[in-house]
Order: sequence, then structure tokens, then C-alpha cells
Amino acid sequence: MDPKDLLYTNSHEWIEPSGDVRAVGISEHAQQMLGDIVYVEMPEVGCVVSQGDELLTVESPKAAASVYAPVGGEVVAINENLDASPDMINKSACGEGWLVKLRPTDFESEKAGLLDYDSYKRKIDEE
Amino acid sequence: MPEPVEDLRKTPLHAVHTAAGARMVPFGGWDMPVQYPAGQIAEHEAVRNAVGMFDVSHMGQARLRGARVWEFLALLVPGNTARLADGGSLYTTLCTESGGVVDDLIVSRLSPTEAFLVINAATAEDDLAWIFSKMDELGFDDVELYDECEDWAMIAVQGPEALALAERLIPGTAWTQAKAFTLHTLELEGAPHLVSRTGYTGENGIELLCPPALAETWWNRFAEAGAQPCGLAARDSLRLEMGYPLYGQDLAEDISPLEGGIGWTVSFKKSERFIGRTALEAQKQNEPRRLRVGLRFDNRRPMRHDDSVSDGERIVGRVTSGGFSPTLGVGIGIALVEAPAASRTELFIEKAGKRLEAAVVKPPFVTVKSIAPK
Repeated sequence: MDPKDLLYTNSHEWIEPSGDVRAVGISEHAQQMLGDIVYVEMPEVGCVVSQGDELLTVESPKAAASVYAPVGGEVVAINENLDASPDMINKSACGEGWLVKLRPTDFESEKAGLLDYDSYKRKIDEE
Repeated sequence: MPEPVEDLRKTPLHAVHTAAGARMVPFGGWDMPVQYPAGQIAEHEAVRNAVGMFDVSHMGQARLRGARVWEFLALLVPGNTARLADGGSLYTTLCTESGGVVDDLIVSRLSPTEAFLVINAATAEDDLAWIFSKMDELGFDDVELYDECEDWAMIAVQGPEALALAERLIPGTAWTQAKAFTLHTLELEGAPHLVSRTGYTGENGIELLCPPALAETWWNRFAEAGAQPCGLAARDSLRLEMGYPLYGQDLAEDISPLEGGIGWTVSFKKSERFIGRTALEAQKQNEPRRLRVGLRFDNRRPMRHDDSVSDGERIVGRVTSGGFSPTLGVGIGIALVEAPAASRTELFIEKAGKRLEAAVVKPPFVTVKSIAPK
């Protein structure tokens, strides 16, 4: 996935901009800040989250970071490859290192809280 | 509250770290590299498989001089200093009367009238004040204590290839033959240097002490010769895999050497009434109330400092150092638990409403590739 096509949160998650079911991950900036990711605590497939809920945690040897749901919805898949190769998130945060697939419940009314690539990039440059 | 950056101290290699793109963090009052661009895992693996190097200039140094130096040190530390020959080093602790630990340190014998100490960064000032007060209390006013914390930069070169690398770059001694726990005094570049055959990784290696003005020269020489620059994160995972304690977590004023898993550093055979002896003897006779154990998950989830440990029914202790073992690919930790729980084969980490099984193991968690010189 081209990072420029994704939508972002202030807490450094991304979500695909369209589709019935959409991949969610953490940004390239977030993986750099975390360092080597060695473990992902995945949610149960089928669980339903609201926008901003803690979705899962990714852990580096030094820290555990919460990943929040960019929009509300049902978790319909988790990236099982990350179980053996969590470093895929470091190598390809916006591609093969996707975390879960969400079926958004009310994307249209929640998308106002998301940033496009340029806005997100400006935000992290300011930090 | 994080400390303001401008108050943090900088080692002589600070500019080298930032120029190389290392990520800097506050540690013990110093602004230190936590990882280089290579990343913690790659740095860890370089030390386990080849050679890596660390800036440990934040650590403190002191020198003691006088005819009764060794008489004083025999009382000051629980280690058996009498077995040190000139050029020999000993890992021991500064203990309180109640058996708690003020710091862990390396004591080296330069001569029958001179000792060299390497102490932790965060505790350096308190350690020196402690030693000074004990000289006074025990009547050793004739012993002289010199604070050399500002006088030395310190670079740890560690890994199965570290001694061969040292042999190429540091003239004067066959470093591949040098035994562990020896300290060598050298004149290099027209200035005094010390080379200590010690480290905090479990691998072979040296710690080079040089004047601060020469730190960059030595660092660049080791880097050009292939040593991977490493940060504090790799230093922590390397020491954790060996089960080496970190002062302030695994050892503290309320965690004795016997509880903290380094009972072997306490010599009850020696005749001196060293500080803390009565309390430590009582602990040994009655069995310590708490014991250190190694814990190991069977998956990649890192253990964390302060995770609660249970026996399945009740909380019996906590993780004092936790992390991820890059060598084993699993989460590991050092825990302090009530003594009866230490003999179990499994314990549990209780975290966020989950009960996670962990095997109880005796550290070290890994076997290293370095072969000690004979």
C-alpha cells in the first residue's frame, strides 16, 4: 500500500481509505520510534471496537505501545504472519506489516477524525 | 517528570553518537545512546556472534591509596579481596550493616598499596561519600580516596572476536591470552590507559579506560576495525540473558546479595568482620526470605520490570528486570520471589487480568560462544 494513499490518526495508526473491510496498521514514523518490534498482542477476531479504543499492543524489548482503533468496527482478521515475524512491522509498516482488518460500522461520520498523508506528515514534522 | 535535557551530562563520545544517528535517552543523569541505527536486535547479535562496542564513560572510577588500603577494603566489601594478586579484579558489592546493597562494583588491585574501583554512574557520588564515611568510622584516615570519575572515558569492546580485535589495536599485551578479571596498566599515545578484562555481556572482552581526549580516537579505531557500536538497550538485553543484576532493580538497599542471586560474591570464609556480615550470615543460616529466579516465557512476549509474579493462587513476588531474549526469541526476566516459590518449576506473570505461565530457570538463560583464554 502506498503510504500517501492511507488515512492516519494523531496516535500514529493508518487505515485504508476505502472498502468494506480495511487494513489497519501503524505508521512508518511509529515503527521508527518504537524500534525493533518483537511481539504483538492481537485482539480476538470478531471483537467489536469503538473509535479510539485500545485495539492491540505492539512491544519492543524496551516498551509496550497501545494501538488504537482509527474508526469503530468489527475485527474480521488479524495478520497471523506477525506471530512469527513481528519485525515485518519494522520492515513494511504500511504493507506486509499490517495488523488487523476492520469492517467499519460508521466510517462516514468518523472519518472527520482522520488525517490525510500530507496533514499527518506536517503533524509529525512539528513534533 | 522527564529530566530537562540541558541538565543531562554528556560523555566525551556524545557528539560521535549523535553524528552517527544514535537515539539518545536519559540514563542515570547522563544523555546516553539507547540504540544506534542498526537497532537493538542487530547490535545484540553483533556482540553474541562477532564484536560490538559500548560507550560506558558514564560509569564512575575511584582510586584508593595507602599502606592499609587492603585492610580497609577487606572490611568495606563482602568479597574476598585477599585472594587478589596485583592486576587482579573482583566483582563485589558495597553493603550496609543490614545486608542491603549500596552499589555493585569492580575492585582491582594495582599494588599492595593501591586499589582501583569501577562503580555505577547513578550511584557514583553516593558511593564515594559512603566509602569516605566508612574510612572515618573504621579509623582509616590514613587511606586516601581519589575521585577519578572525570578522568576516564570508558569503552567496552565485547564479543567472541573482541580479544582478537583488541590484540590488533592495543599494543603491549597478548589480549587473546589475557585472563578474565585482570586489570592492565599501559602507556599508550603518551598517556596512561587501563585495560580491564571485564564486561557486562557474558562474552569475552575488554573495557578500555583512556583519557577523555582520546576517547574518539579509540572509538573510531574500533569502529573502523569492525566493532558494531551498540546502545544501552542491547547492553541491557545482553546482561539480562546472562542473569547479571542491574543495580537499582535486581540489587538495592532492600535486596541483599544473597536474595539478588549473587551470594557467590560474599565470602564468609574470610576472617574480617566486613560491613553487613552479621546480617548476611543470619540470612544465610535462616535461608533468605526471598530469592532471585529466572523466568522464561515460551513465546515472544517481553517480560516487564515490576510485572507481578504468582504461584497460581497468590502474588509471591515481582519481576525486577524483564525483557526479550534475542538469542532465544522468547520473553525472559529476573524475579524476586518468596523463598518457597523459588523451588517451583513454573510461576505465573499476572498482567492486565491475564495469567501467563513462565518456566522457572536458573540463569544464565543462554550459552555464549566466547571461549575463555586458558
